[in-house]
Amino acid sequence: MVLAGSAAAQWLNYPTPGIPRLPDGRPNLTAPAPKTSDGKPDLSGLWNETCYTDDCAQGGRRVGAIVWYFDLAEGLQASDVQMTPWAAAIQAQRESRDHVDDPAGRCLLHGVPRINFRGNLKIIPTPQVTVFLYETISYLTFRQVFTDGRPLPDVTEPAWMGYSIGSWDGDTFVVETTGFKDGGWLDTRKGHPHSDALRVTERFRRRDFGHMELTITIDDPKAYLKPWTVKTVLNLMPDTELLEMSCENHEKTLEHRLLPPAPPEPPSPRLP
Amino acid sequence: MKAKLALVAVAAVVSLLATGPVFAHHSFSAEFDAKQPVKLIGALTKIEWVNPHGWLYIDVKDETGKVANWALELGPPNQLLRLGWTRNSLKPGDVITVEGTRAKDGSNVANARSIMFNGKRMFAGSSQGVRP
Repeated sequence: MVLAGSAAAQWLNYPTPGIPRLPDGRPNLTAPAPKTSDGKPDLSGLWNETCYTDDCAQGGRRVGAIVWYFDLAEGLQASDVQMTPWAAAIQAQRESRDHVDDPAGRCLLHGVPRINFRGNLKIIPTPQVTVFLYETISYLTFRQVFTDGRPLPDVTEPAWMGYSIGSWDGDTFVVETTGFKDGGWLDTRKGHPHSDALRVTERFRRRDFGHMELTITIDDPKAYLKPWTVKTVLNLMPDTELLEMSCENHEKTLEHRLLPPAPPEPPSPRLP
Repeated sequence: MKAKLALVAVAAVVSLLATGPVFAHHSFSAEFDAKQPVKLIGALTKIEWVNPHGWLYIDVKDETGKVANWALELGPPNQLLRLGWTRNSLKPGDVITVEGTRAKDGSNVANARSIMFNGKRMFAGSSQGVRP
């Protein structure tokens, strides 16, 4: 059942213990969503927003498509995503330069919510904090979503990934994040910017064992004239684990880069 | 059952990996020139199985018989592992055919879009007998 070749990556194919299975041994992805001991939905598992099998394509997604990583507004109307002049100028420059200035291209943090669309996400709920572990295609990182009742902080040290708190709205886990660095990237090919005024709301609802609905709202008055919302589904990846990923060989990539110098991006203006 | 799931998932990723640059963590055009396609045939000398990009090195003989070593950029090894490939999928001495895109600075470096060995597509979604 487990290939001898999998010794190359020790937990690549390790069967996840204790998950519901069909008679033939495959994970039962449409079993009911599990609950934790305090009766809340259990969001545990390894998740990926990219759809690799026909199973997850039932929602109309193209198998293998990477969509919102490249353009978070894909599928929305132009009128839904109205940039301020500051944001529009930056977005135009980033797209015209084929996103060469993207910090993620230098193995730096992707920011939120883009981090959810670039690799594997492991959710580990605990009573006081829900931990998100990420394996991207260039590094490993984490987010701490505190559920101990603390408010969002007054931030003097803005962060790539912001500061997150979480709470329950019925069977939906609502994550609020603020405290972002100015001038981040919401997506890659389009380069939609965000300012330090960004507030991201992520709503996670585990529909069944193998599927997690994720609704994301972008609220950034310095970059967008009104909030906008996208919806997607995360797919459970059973019988595998996060693998180590580090940017250890990036110098070789940089050896052959010929980059025209980047015009500087101005900081976002103050709110009136 | 598992084999069917494997084939479905594997087939799904073929089209994905056919457009190699899409997987890069950085902008393809920062490094490679889409107007310089290359097709190379050579024997593998070395493989660097590291993230975020693996590298294959091959000795390519030109018409005069002169040998030049080329470096070919792969996608992230973690993704290749999840498709069932490993650092031992090719061995030094294996003769491979590579189609790709040359580096902008004109060096013997290319991004590998397609790697063929003995008629089989390597490091892509069309692997045989491997579990995704």
